[in-house]
Amino acid sequence: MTPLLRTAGLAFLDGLIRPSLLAVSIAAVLCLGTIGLAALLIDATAMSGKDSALFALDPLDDYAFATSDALRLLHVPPQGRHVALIGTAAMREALTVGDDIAVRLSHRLDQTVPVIDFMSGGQSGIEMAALADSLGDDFEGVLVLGISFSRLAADNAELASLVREPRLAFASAAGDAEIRAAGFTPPPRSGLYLLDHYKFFVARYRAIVWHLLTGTRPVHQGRTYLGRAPASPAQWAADAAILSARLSHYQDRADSNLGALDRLIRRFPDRAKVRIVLLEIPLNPLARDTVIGPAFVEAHRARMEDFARRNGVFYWDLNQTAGLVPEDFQDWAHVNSIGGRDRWTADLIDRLGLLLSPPSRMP
Amino acid sequence: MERTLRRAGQIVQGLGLGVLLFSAIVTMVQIESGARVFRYQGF
Repeated sequence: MTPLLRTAGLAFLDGLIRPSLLAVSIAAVLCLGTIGLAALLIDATAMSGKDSALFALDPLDDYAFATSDALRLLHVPPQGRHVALIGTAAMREALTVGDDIAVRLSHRLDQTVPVIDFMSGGQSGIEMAALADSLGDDFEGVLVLGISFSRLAADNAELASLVREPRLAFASAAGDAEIRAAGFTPPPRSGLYLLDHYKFFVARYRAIVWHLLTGTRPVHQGRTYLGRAPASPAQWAADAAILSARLSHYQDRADSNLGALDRLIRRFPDRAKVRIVLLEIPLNPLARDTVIGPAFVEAHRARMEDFARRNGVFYWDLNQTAGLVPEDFQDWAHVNSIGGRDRWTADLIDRLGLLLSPPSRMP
Repeated sequence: MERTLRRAGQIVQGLGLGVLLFSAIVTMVQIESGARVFRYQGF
């Protein structure tokens, strides 16, 4: 190494390791500048823009994708008749993708009926209300809400973690109302988007930086059960134990949990404009017969039919008509067969087609 | 040239410290707030 090169190297190294005002200043400006820039650039517009997927953790990050979709609807409300599907993963796994349903439904009705897919894993009543709220006051068409006896047996205490760690990054009056109804306080709102939803972004910041550096964007993967091996005896037994424990509270909690549905139904009061369907999620006949009991299922169905009648909405239990068999299920509720999914989807499209056909008939 | 290289070293140090500082602040906020991607797989 020449003396000149050595001297140059030592000078660079000295600058690199010796504390200096310049280095500290650059560090402070870079750090504060990044935070300031994030506060300026990360807003509802960015979260609903064409690059919104960079804020998602991975392809399974349902709530990041749902946030983007909801913000788009809040920005540009849906025009004309739509079908909105809102519910849990069990509802979603039994249906083909929204675009497929839209094409088949539009073909049947001879007019375009877009489908809004707001189905997400483990969706709570808070999230269901917030997502439905994003459809807006002018929503027209059919609102399909996934329900189950398990939802009616849910404990409000389960929602505590969802209030502490909100999964959706947008404010909703209906969502906040559900938080209050569950006995919690909605998070404070400052009006600054990043500050109001900082937990959402902080939890994903490594993925966001990675997506920015590599230029990659996750593509939402909504359906993950198709072809998955059936539950092992151990998983089945564990699920059965959880389900039985949960259903032991059904009678105590059903009316209170129906209150949440009641509030959601009242959010869309004009029945000429918005038809509401309460759609029972798939139930494995094996779980019905060996874990839950047919009498319980019948009683739940009667309760829901009565509730639907009193509120002027529809209650559809496709378990009675779609012909699903135990071999169509991965576990007690998630469909994993193409045949099962196709039968369930076709049944729903048949009913939606009738409901949307003028004059609409009660299926 | 020596002065320029020392300055270059200081700039690289500043950039590195900036990234570390940002990462430390966000990580502390994450730990303090308990923020995480909550994938509740309930019934």
